[in-house]
Amino acid sequence: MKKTAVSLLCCALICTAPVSASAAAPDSYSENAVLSTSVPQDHLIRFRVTGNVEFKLDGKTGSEFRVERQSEPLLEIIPKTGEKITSVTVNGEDMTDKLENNSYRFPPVYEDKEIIVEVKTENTAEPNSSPKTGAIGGTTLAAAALLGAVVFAKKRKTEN
Amino acid sequence: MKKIVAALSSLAVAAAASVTAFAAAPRDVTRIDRSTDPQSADTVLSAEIDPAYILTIPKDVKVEFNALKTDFGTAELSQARLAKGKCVQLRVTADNKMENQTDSSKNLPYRISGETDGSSAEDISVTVCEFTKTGDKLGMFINITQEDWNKAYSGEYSDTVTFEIRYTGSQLGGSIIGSGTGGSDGNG
Repeated sequence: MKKTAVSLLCCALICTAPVSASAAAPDSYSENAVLSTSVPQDHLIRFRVTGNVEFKLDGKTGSEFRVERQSEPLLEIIPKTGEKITSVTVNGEDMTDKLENNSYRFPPVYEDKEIIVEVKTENTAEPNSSPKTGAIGGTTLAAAALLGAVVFAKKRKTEN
Repeated sequence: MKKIVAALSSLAVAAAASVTAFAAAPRDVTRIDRSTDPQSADTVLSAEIDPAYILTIPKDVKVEFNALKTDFGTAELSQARLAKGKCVQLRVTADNKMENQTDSSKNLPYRISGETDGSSAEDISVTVCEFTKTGDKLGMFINITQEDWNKAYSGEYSDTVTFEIRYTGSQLGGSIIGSGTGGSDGNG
């Protein structure tokens, strides 16, 4: 009982210790806020093609690739025999003139890309064996002969 | 022994008990009686009211990838009781670049712009803003150019913005945004 009384008194002593509290507001105060963002690791490069073409990106074949952001992959477009590339667009921008030997080195990639390739079938026939060419040649000879005949006839008429 | 301890404890409690002492200062008094002329006296009543205000400031913000302008939040003065000629001054301090968390050599530049009803500033980290009356507010935005986004390497980026608030004399004559920021005054 006495021990309890002593303990309670000690507690009371601690609780009644005076506390100084300053009510004055500080003249300045600072607080922080954190700004953050995430930049993606990679981007998607996807191909659409009208024709028979194979794609390679950094040597790997496929039609869809994930590439590391800010990397500069090499694109190779390999048309099948008899096909010719007529147009290449990257996200709507015409890049046909930038192809070298059907290859294109991307600048650092910072977004997804859609590449549209158009090809057409090339005419591989021999020029001399073309029947159309032969017909054109025959027509030219006939026209020349006709022209010669007309000139000759006019000349004779003038002499008479 | 226990009795002694208990007695000492009681004494300690008594000694530690806070004592409020009113040291009544002598007052100047004016006595008026039948012989006093004039038969009146003046008394000056005075009171001092401490300034008080609440200024809310933006919290943490996550900027979406490729976002050119992100709402950072609004700094707004409410419940303001300020002395004449005084204001609540806000100074925004930032590095103006978010640092890549895995490679500190890589960063993403940004600017914090400010907009009020009548004016705007392209970069509020180079000026001070003053709030003088209840309802004064400043909208803040994080601006990142597309060119800077395009150059950014992958990863997590962050930066800490510090808002320093002071109760001080007003210097801007009622404008919220200070000059020297390249901002425009929308009032024409």
